Formats: sequence, structure tokens, C-alpha cells
Amino acid sequence: MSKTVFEWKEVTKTFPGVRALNNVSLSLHEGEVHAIVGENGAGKSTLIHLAAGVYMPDAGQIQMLGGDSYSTPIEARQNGVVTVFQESELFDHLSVAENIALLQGLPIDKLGFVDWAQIHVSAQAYLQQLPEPIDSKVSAASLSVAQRQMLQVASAVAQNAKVLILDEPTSALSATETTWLFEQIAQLKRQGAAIVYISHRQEEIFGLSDRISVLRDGQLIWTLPLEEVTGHSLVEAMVGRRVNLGQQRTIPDLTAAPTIFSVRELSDISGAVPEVSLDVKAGEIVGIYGLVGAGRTEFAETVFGVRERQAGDVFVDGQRANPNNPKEAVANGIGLVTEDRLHQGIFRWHSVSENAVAAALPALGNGVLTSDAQEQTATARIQELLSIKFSSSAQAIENLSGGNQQKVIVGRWLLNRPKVLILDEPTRGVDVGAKEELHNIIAELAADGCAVIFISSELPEVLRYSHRTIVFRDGSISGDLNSQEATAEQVAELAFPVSAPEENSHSTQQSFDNKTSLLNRYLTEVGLAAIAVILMIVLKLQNPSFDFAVLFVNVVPWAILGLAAAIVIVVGAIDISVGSLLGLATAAGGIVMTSGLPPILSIVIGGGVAVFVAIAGSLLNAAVSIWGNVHPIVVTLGMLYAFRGMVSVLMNGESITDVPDAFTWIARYGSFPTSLIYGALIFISVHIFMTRHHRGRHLYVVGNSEVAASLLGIRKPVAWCWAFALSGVLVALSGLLQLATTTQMQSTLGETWELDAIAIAVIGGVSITGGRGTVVGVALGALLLKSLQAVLLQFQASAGRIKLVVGLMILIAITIDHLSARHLARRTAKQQAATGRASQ
Amino acid sequence: MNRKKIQSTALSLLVPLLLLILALLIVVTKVERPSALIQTGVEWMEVGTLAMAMTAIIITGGIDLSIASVVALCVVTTGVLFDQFEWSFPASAVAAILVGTLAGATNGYAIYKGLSPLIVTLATMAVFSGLALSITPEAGIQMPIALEEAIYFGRWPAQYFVFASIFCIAMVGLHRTRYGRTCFYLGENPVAARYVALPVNQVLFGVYVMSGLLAGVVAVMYVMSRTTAIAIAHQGAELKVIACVVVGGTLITGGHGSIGRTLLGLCVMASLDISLDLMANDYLWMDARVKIIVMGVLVVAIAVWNQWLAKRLN
Repeated sequence: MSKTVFEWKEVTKTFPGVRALNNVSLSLHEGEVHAIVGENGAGKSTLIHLAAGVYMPDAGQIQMLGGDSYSTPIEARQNGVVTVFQESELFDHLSVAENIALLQGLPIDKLGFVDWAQIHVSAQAYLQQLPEPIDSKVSAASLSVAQRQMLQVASAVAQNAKVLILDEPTSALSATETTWLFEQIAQLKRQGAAIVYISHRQEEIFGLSDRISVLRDGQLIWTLPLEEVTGHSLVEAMVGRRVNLGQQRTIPDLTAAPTIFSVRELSDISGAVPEVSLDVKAGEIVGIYGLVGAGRTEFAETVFGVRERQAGDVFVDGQRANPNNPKEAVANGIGLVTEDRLHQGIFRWHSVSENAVAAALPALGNGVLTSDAQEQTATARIQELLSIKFSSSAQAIENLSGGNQQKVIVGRWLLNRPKVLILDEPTRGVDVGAKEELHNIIAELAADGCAVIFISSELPEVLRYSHRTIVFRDGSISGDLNSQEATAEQVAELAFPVSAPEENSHSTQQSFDNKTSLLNRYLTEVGLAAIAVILMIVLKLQNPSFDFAVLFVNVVPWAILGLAAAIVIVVGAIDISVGSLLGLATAAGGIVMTSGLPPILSIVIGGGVAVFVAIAGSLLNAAVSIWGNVHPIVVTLGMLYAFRGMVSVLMNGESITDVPDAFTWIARYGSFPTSLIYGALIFISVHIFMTRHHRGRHLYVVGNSEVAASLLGIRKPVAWCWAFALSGVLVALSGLLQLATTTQMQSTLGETWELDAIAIAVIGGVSITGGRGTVVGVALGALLLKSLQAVLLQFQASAGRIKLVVGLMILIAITIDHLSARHLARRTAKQQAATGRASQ
Repeated sequence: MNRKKIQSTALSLLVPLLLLILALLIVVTKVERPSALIQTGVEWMEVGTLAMAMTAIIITGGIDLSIASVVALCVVTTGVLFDQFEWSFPASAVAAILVGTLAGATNGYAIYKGLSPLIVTLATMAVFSGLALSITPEAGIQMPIALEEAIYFGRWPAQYFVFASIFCIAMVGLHRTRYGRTCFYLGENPVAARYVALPVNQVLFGVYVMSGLLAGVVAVMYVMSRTTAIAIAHQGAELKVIACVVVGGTLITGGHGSIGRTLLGLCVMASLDISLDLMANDYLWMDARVKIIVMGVLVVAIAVWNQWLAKRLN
């Protein structure tokens, strides 16, 4: 008897409106490959999310050998359970090595400093397992989907995982990579691990697995050893014999009906839909069946104009429609009920009637004005037509049941009297009664002459309620059957590819050139340095006696303030009050220093007070943003003025003069510019913190992806507090340096400085979306900005002109950042689809 | 409407109303020359006009930090065209409004192309303000006194009438037209708004253009009643404008709000401003500096309160 290493024990999991898993018990044996098979929505995804520690079961237990239980993804991993999801969320701007390390928690010493040597050594160990080398220092964003998956598999092997769960692994891999994957699986088997293999590819299932389990509608149908399973018994178990032909609806005689919707060789630019041709008649109900990744939703989106069409035509009622956006689609008489009701369909906090009329506003008004009366009438009409249950049409749609919400969405499109209506998974998350009602509505709609297409992952539903069944497989149509005559097995076999994926144009061998030269990796910094050098040359040419030392000394306090702004931006927030906060902190410190205490004491206490005030102000901003739930821009905008007022009150019309001589030494000792050392020390310390301390790394992690960070147990509030607190310290240090340099202070110190600070950060390569930026970059950004301002001054530009240039620099920097992010996103989408997988 | 929603609506109106009553009490008891209030209110009528567009922008989920700078730019444009290029005043005024519209269009273009409204308008704030500073002398340009008389209609300056008209237009525009309704849908769920074929890009672009246009109008009125065209015109107004919207109860996250609420916020802010000024006569420590502390803290506090109420409703 084989040893059980992992068990799902009587597990039940329910989500709002649907029971995903119902009392499922499944065990994994040592050294086996266990295939889990089922249709979409059968519960496979939930099963693996439970194993991965992402969800907790409502009933039952997840158990490791030895009885260890866990409740978070990071604990799951530490217990040896590695899950390779189809979509693995990585921290794009962090290196491959760091991403690998984060999965298990960064290795740190007692003081919290990260052991980079170990991170690289471990990463190398994993990366060596891959068929093609990847440089561990490149950013994760440059990895292809296939590489991401292989990386996870490699780490499982190197880690000696006890359970490896693979969710549709070969959909993104080429033939060579698939072979490599099977070798890793064999290796893991030898090591005694259990491998869970979720796939619909029969050749792989029968070629690899030792035992097979079938899930259907959240229940385990059976678990059998390979020898006892045939292709037919597998398909039969997956779809079940639930189609009761007696209840089949009558298919009307449509021979005389006109073809009202026609698609010819339609393809989209990402390649998810390589070529589809389809005809639907008026009054016909077409059901589209297929598995995840088959391209059904992508097809609907291309028809509707949401996805960019590459080639092919869409005809509605004989006219060429070819919509380029939803507006054109609607104008041509097409409607689309989207798959994801929550994110793409409803306006949650808007009322039922506002949701109902959203697509029909032009028709329900008087010219440009809206008409309450007409909207109410329309809402009442669809309520009656579709039997929607709500207490008042002014009620928020959020409060309705899933079924009723869906009816409102369907009703929304009915108001437009579409010629063609596409419904993507219309009965998902809807109870049985409402399901039947929705299909009645669809039938009536067709009877009125509309061409209806509904996409569904439930085979019985497709066969029962449609006239024709179209099967999608890997982006094209693999079958077009009469729903009354077709059998479930026929359809299922058309949808499940039996043979291994061919080496066709989808899975082109994309040899990703991850090897980046040193130049490429530090492109931003090199570019900045180059521009700064050019500016300095211009300065020298204009004025041969220009003293660069003066420039560098001037740059220091600005660079420190810029760094303060940058750190907050890196973590994903923004602080436009840094200038006024600087004024406040410096005023507080300056008052203490000039209060008549003995010099050394007054300097120390004054400095401490300044730092304290700045940290307090900054943390106040952080706290209100996090727990008050208000965007930092509003909080820091209000506090900007509040701090400014406080400075005025504190200084009460006087200025601060005569700071102790000893204090001015941080700026200048005799003729030696000590401020350069002051600045250098600060920059080096912050650099070490941001690159070598785990708290610093967490700032980048949270800035990259809050969601992925929280899965690793790295929480946003903590990271934000650290960022704002550090920012506060730097604000104070910048202000103190200013005070030491000019030896006096007016109440207007710091006013409007936040603009320069943010400009320095943004020019220095800190991305406004967070998660990216370096200390060196900020320093160079400061040098660049101040050199530019010096050049402008030499050409006698006014203060206004300089401000104008600063604003333009920010605009240029964010435009470049935006364009490069968009380019990267496009490239990723293209190659995701090119490897035969649909992006979700 | 269920009880919870009524409760939350009432609560969200409670705080501004209380503040309004408190402020009005102070004003009524302490005011010595009520007719002088008309002059003080002129600035707030200008702020209110700008707040009409800001309401729509915030409902779409965006923000316009550059609004004060656009006003400054238009003010300066009027002055420069009139004084240096010797255009007639009406022509300068029209040109200024065009400049404002163009400035708004610049914001709108960048934003509907996908850049973040916050950082775009932060940058354009500097660009427009810098531009204004560089084309005009620091002391500003003196305009003929005759303009000041021209702006009066009887005892009331035009700002009141303009605000009243813009208010009515905004009420209808935001709450009763397709384009206004699109702001709400867009602010709540931009993805769904695109799927239902709402004119999302047009509206996104349009609200910022409106903001620029109104800034131009306010600028012309400013020049007429202050008779100088100076680059620091309405400096810091963005906080006041945003305060009117936030204090009225509109959520910064977008999707909800109303012009009526912004009017309430405007009344609160204006009366607070006036009452603090009156108190300063008796309590010398309550001066301009205290006023801005109060305003800054108030905006943040009420934004937090509104968010908490919204969360409570769910």
C-alpha cells in the first residue's frame, strides 16, 4: 500500500452563489503522478487553490503527511507544497533571483539584512535545471510565460518539494520544453514527491499518470488507477449522462430564415483567435462549448470590437460591420453580455434602473437630455419581461441575487433590440431556477428574430438549450453539430485535444533573449549621467570660470529631498507635502537651536526635534491614507497647507537667525564643503537600506504588486509606514542642511519645493506606478535637474521659465515611462497568445 | 431606499450642515457691515464656478491640480494682450478663455491617453504657472479702473450671476444629460462603461476641457474686478476648489457625488472663511495662517469621514 503524503479530507468550499467543492476527499501517494480531470467549473481550480493555501476550506481539512496544516501560501511552500498556476503573478521590476527568493521568504540575518550571496546561489541552482539558461539578474518582466512556469517547476525540484501541483502546464510550453517538464516530473517521482497534473490533453494524461481522478460539478466522481481507465470512460465521467433527450427543446425550422450574423476568417492581433468563420441565422440559438484557453471569449471580444481585429470580416444583416470598438458594434446591432459580471458588467453601487439603461441612454432620452420617465418605463418593462425580483428600481444592484443581476444585464441589452446577442457564460453564478428562466428569455429573444450565441462551459446546458453546438478548440472551430442529434461524448471529444500540441505557428520557438548586458540593465542611470555630463559641458562652455564644486554643493539638499519623495513613490504612494513639512521640521529644530541652550546640546536636541516632527508629520499622512482610506494625494494636499500654516504660527512672523557655529559645520568647515560628505553618507545609508535590508526590499515588493505581496505575507500598511517614516527623516535632514548652509530661515522655507522633489524622483527613473527606482538614479536626477536650472540661469531665464521647464521635464519623464510600460504589456500579451494560451 | 442608505446620506450631510450653521451664526452675530460681504464673497463665487467642473472631474475618478495655474495663465494672457499687444478688452477676454480651453484640452488629451490625472495635472500646474510667471512682470499689469465698474450689475458683481448660471448649467449637464451620466458610470467602473458603449473618451477629455474653459471665464472676471493681471492670481485655489467638492460629500474615489452637494460645500467653505476672518478681529491669533491650517485639516478630516460612511453602507 502506497504511503499517503497529502490529503484533501472531506473538503467543501462555497463561494457566493456557487458550491465549488462538495465533500471531496482525495489523497496523493508518494511518488505518483495523479491526474485530475474535469470540465471548466468542475472544481479543479478551487481544489488547487486550497492546496496552495490561498483559500481555506469551509469544511474539511487539507493535510500533509505528518499532520502539518497551514493557512497561507508561504506556509504551504515551506511545507513543501509547490503550485504552478497558469497565471503566476511575479514582481515585474524585481530580478528573477529575487522573485525566486521571495517565494520562500528572503534569507535574512539577525539584523534583517538580506543575504544576496545566498539568493544568487540558490537562484543559480534552480536556473541550472532549466533547458535554456536565464540570467538571474534580469527583471522578471522579461520572462516569457513558459519561462515563468519552468522556473517554478525547477524551484520545486531543487527544493525537494513533497507535492507539486501543475495546472495545465503544457499549454504554454513548446515541445522541447514539454520534454524537459516530463524529465523533471520523473525526477520528482524518484525523490518520492506526489505530482498533481491537471490537464485536458488525453495523450499526456494517459502517458504520464499513475492514477486519475475526475471532478464534476464540485464532486469527485471516481479515482482509479490508469489501467482501469479508457478514453471513453474518462469523457463519460467528465460530462455525465445528464442530457435527457425527452426534455430537449424543439428546434424550429430555420431553412427559410436569413443569415443575420456572419463571420469570415476573423482573427485578432494577439493570435488567440487565429481564424474563425461562422454563420448564424435569425431566430437561431448557437451554443459555443470549449475549455479554458479555447478562445471563445476572445472571439466574442473581437466580434464586439473590444479586441483589435487583425483580419477577417463581421457581417450583420448582410452589411459589413467590422466594429473597431463597442460603440460601432452597438450601432450595428450587436450586443455582448460579458463573462465577468462583477468587473465588466455591473456598476455595483448604481441603482438597478441605472444599470438597466446604461447601454440604451441615447434611445431613452430627449436629445442630449436624459428622461427619468422613459428610463423608469424601460426598467419596468424589462422587470416584467424577465421576471426580475427587486424591491425598488432605485435599489443598488449589488443587493440583488446573482441571477437577478444577470437578468438586469441581459435586459440592458434587450432594450437596444439587438440583431445579434452574444452571451458569455450567462448562467455562471446563477441558481438553477434563474438558469431556466434565463434560457426561456433567450428562446423568446430568438423567436423574435434575434440571432443568439451563448458561450458556456457546461456541456449539458449547451446541448439542451441550443439549436446548434459549436465546439472551440485552441482558438478555432473543431466542430459544428446539431444539438438534438449530437451526443455529449462527441462534443467532449471535439473539445479535448487527444494528441499532443503540434509545432505550429502558435508555439513558435521564441528564444527569449534574456541575456542583458550591463549597459541594458542600467540604461536609465547611464542615460541620466550622459545628459548631466552634456549639461555640465554646456555650463563650462558658457562660463569658463564656472565652479562645479558650487553646483555639487547646491545639489545635495535637493537630492536628499528628492530621495524623500522617491521613497514614497516607490512604495506606491505620493507625498506633495514634503516641502511644507521641511519648513515645519526645520523651523521646529531651528527654534530649539537658537533658544539659548549650550551649543552642542541645542544642536543635538534641535536636530532630534526636527527629525521627530518630520517623522510625525509624515506618519500622520501615512496613517490617514491607510486607515482613513483616502488617497494620499488628497491627504497630502490638505496637509501641505496645514503644515504651511503651522510654520507661520510657529515662527510668528520672525525669522530664525544665528544658528550655532558648530551646526554650520555640517555644511561647511572653513572652506571645505562638508555637505558633500553629509549627502554622501545619507545616500550610501539609504542605498544600503533599500538594496540590502529586507524592509527596504519590501517597499519595492509592495510597490510592484500589493496583491502578490499580501500573498507572501508582506503587508501594505507596514511597508507604507516604513516608507513615510524614512521619507520624514530625509525631509528633516534636507532642511537641517539648508539651515546650516544659509544660517537663517524664513517662514517661507520649503514652500513649492515639493514640485522639484517630485521632478527629481521622476526624472531619476522612479516610476510613478511604483516598484521601481534607484538611489543612484535619484542622485543623478537631482544633478541633471539642477544643472539644467543652472544652464537656464546662465541664459538669464526667469524663475517662471525655470518652473515651466521643470513641469515639462516631469511630463516627458512620465510619458516615456507610460510608453515603455505599454510596449512591454503588448509584447507580453502577444507572446502569451502565441504560445497557445488565452490571457484571462 | 433602505434605511441604511437614508441614514448614511443624512450623516454625510450632517457634518457640513453643522459647520454651515455654526459659521453662519458667527457671521450673523459678528458682522458689522453686511454689504461688505458682497465683496468678500466674490472670490468664493469664482472658486465655486471652478468647483462645478472639478465636481465632474472627481466623479470620473480623476483630479485637476492645475486649475489655479490655468486661471493664472488666463489672467496674465488677458493682461499681456490688452497691455502689450493693445487688443481691445473683449478680444483679450475671448483669447484668454480660448487659452484656458486649450490648457484644459492638454490635460484632457494626456489623461484620456492613459496617463495618471494626478501626476499630469501636477506637472501642468508647474508648466502653466511657470508660463504665466514668465510672460508678465512680477508686479502684474495694471488694467483700467473702468473695468471694475463694468463688472457690477447694480450692487452685485457679475461673479454672482455667472456662478448662478454655471451652477444651473452644471446641474442639468451633470445630472440630466447622457454625458454627465457617463461621468458617474465611468468613475464607478471604467471597464463596464466601455463595454456598454458609453462615450468614455469623449467625456474624459471633455471634463478637463470644461475645467479649462471655466478657468478662463473666472480669469476674465478676476481681471475686471481686481484690475490687475498678475501671475499669482488665485494662488492656492486648487485646495479651495477641491475642498468645496470634498466637504460637500463627494467621494474622491469617484462614481458618486452631485452639484448640489458641491454648492453645500461651497457655502460651508465660504462662510467658514468669512467667520474666521470676523473672529480674527476679536481673537488676534486667528489669522490667515490659522485659516489655512483649518482648511487643510478640514478637507482631510471630512474626506476620511465620507469614506467611512461609504464603507458602512456596504
